[in-house]
Amino acid sequence: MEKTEEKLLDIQDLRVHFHTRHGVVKAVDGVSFGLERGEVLGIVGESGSGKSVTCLSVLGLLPAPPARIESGRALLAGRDLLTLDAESLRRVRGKSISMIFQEPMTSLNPYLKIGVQLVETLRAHEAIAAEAARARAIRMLDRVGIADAGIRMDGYPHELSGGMRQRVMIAMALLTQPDILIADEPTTALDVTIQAQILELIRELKAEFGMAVILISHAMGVVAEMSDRILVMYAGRVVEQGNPGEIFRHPAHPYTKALIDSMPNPNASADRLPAIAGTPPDLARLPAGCAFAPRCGFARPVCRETDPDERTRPASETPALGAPEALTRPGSPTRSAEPGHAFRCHVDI
Amino acid sequence: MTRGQGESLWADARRRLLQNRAAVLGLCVTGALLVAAALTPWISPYAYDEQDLNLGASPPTRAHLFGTDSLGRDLLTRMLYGSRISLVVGLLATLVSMIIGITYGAVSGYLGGRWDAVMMRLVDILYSLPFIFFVIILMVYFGRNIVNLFVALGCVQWLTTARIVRGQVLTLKQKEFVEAAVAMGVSTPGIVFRHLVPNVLGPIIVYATLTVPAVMLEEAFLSFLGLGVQPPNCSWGILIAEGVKHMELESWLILFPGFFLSLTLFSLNFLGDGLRDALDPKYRAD
Amino acid sequence: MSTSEAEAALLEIQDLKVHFPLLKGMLRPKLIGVVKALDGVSLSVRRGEVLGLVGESGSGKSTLGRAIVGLARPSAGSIRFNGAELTGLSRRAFRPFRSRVQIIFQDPYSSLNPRMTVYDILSEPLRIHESLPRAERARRVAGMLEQVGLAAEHMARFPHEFSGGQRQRIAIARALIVRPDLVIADEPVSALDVSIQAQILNLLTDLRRKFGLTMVFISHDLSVVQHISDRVAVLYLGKIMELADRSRLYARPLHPYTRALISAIPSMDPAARKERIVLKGSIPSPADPPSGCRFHTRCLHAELKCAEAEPPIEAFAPSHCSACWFSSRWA
Repeated sequence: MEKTEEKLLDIQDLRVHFHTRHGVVKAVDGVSFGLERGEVLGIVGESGSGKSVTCLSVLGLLPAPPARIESGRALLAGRDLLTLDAESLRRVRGKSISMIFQEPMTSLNPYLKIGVQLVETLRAHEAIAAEAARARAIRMLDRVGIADAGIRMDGYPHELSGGMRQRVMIAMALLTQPDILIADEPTTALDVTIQAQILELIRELKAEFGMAVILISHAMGVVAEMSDRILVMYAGRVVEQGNPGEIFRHPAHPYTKALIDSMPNPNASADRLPAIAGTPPDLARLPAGCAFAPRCGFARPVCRETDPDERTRPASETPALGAPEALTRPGSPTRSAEPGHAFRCHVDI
Repeated sequence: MTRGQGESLWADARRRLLQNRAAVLGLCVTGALLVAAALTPWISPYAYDEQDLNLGASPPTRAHLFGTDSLGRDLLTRMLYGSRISLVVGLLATLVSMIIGITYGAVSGYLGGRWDAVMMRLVDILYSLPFIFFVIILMVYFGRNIVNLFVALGCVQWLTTARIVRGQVLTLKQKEFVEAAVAMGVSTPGIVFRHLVPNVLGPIIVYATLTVPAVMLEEAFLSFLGLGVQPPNCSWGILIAEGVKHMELESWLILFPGFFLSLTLFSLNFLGDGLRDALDPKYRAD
Repeated sequence: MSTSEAEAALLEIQDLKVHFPLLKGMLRPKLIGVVKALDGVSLSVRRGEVLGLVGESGSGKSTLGRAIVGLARPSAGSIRFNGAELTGLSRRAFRPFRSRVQIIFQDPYSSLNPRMTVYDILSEPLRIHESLPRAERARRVAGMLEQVGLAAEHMARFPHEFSGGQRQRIAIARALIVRPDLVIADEPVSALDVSIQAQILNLLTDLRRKFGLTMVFISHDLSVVQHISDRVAVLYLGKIMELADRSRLYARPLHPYTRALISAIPSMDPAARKERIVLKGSIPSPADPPSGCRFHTRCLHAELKCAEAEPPIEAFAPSHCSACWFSSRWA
């Protein structure tokens, strides 16, 4: 935390509430995290955990009303994104921070040629001649693995398969060489073999362009394989953060542990999975104390009364991992010490 | 559906309708108009064909609250009698058009393929015929009476309903609940009327409330041509048509009928919006 | 397959083809192509087992499930259920089988009619297939709701008042209320949150045991299929690539496609990660499948022979079949 000035993006105590007829939905309720240069930060959580809202609010992409940013700061190179006017934010979006979404078809305009959309994006952010922009767009399409990029430029999005469209979206996001790429469930709509291709591509491009990636997903496996660091979100809060190996081997929060246990696992031959009981809470009517307490097997009376503070477990406590590539991947910054393993729970499990 | 659940569904819809202030207002106004129309013979101040040629056209006075027309007939009386015909024609013709349109559109959309192509081309052809030509044929063939009037109007109005319903059904039938019903062995009429039609009621109710005033105006047009209501009977449409002729000098003759037609239109629209929300289980308050 | 196993088969599919004509024009449609969603699939499902069907979109796995319940019309081949032929039956003749074979869909938000109460949804199959007095029907609905972990008082509610997991429970109840012998579960947990998936998988496991169900479990998620299935069939472009007992398939896959699929399962456990086989390209169009082996355009081991001749599906071990010229390399 003392190295604030080094962070590329620093989110502090972000609270985003939706004011609806049914009450105040606390979609994001006190989220803080930092993103370092060249790092892949994975955010996992179920629907309604606040993982997407966090990123959308930073980019000013939430409809307001009903969304309202109640507090917090999102510092990008010292500038607070939450206080920027619409025009400055637009310049940040796509230039410093780009985003790709789950369903690439809805993010591409079906009536415009792919090339037109790419060139338009580039020229919105840079003073560049149309010819030069086109050349750069073709190079980028080629780079993300689109065959016959020059011909594809004059095609329409519906002529491409889902995986190819996601590649086009990635090309569009990277054209302006952003510092941060936010990928919101980039492979959820894709087939398994295509998912592997896209994840591989993101990994390569990250190393090549030296950008930081925020990978949002509900799939633990995907996030664990890709990320240097993981945030686990539940009911609008970060309940646990640490590196993937630590979180997998020694989950400190009961929710993380239960989630890992409930995934079908080839080694466990048991017929029944240890499922988490109940359903995620209604964010407009959060229970007192810890939001996970009603579903938690470790809950004690205190959990239902007071909200747990964040605690850390120093990295030294956790034994060294067998797979070093999980800690330092090519392109990752070398860090002198792993960040601590932080979690929000009253109980030691 | 068991009675217990059915009642709770309707009771619930009624409660939500009553919570909607605009809809309640629309309901009250529509209700008042219907009551006034029903009670006309007892509450109207004059007989509908009573003339006072000496008086002629007179602006509103204490004796004639809405004024009189050039024949000295009381406008309030004529509007009360006119509302009976206008409201009945409007509501019944709409009902007829809804029944035909929903059935036709839902069947066409659900069957799809060649059936759909043929059924929709027929709609296109009927659309392209001048509607008045169509109505005239119907009226001449079946005779000019008030029942045939609303049947004829309904037969023309259903085309748009059928198109709306077909469009909705085309998207709905992709939904898995329709496939689930097929896999379960539900018959085709069962799928159309139990699964598809209830799901298109929202837009249809709103469209119906727009159809009522449209039909009322069409009736006026037909009457103007001599195909609709015959004098000395009258409808709001006729009153408006007459009022337009005299609106420079005798503005009350257009203002009162015009105001009440607009009032009916607004009330029905508010009521329609309210009904759509009340009948949609998604809006059910928890 | 030995004769005793064949006798125990509840469902037997022989060389099933489902082709969809691609038509152009409204009134006088012209045939411009044929989508071969299923192009010659043979398999059998034994009484009481769970057969997993895996494959990517376009593999034909959903079409197979839909053909079994009569939602897709076979172009050729046979589907025998309990010895009786299902293909070519009229709507009326098919009806008795509707209650014996049921389907659970992927998306619980679109599989339940939003205008019907839970009672209406669950009583509809009963009304069609069993004539019961009203009180008895209500009792059955209440009983079924409890079996799937909901309460009888949920009957009067509408689907939108439930969460995704609860909706899927209602869909399961609707499928099971007529006590079918065979249930097709088409991606039943794919649309659910991670923490809910396990609940629904457990529910299916419990109900399967309680009702002695036979199940065809369709999914793109290999871990889920591995968890729930006894045997697994891998489909690619309308054909079976590999079919084996669960443990054999995952431990010793014999087809390069299966090997790639298994290697692509993302894992949380760094130690469990194997070398990933990243396939090139995407699944070709089923309207124009490649010559020879359909997988050869993406296969890392493809040779000339693969483009020329289609490999037959052969048994390499008892209850382990694969359709690849080179399967013996991994056997």
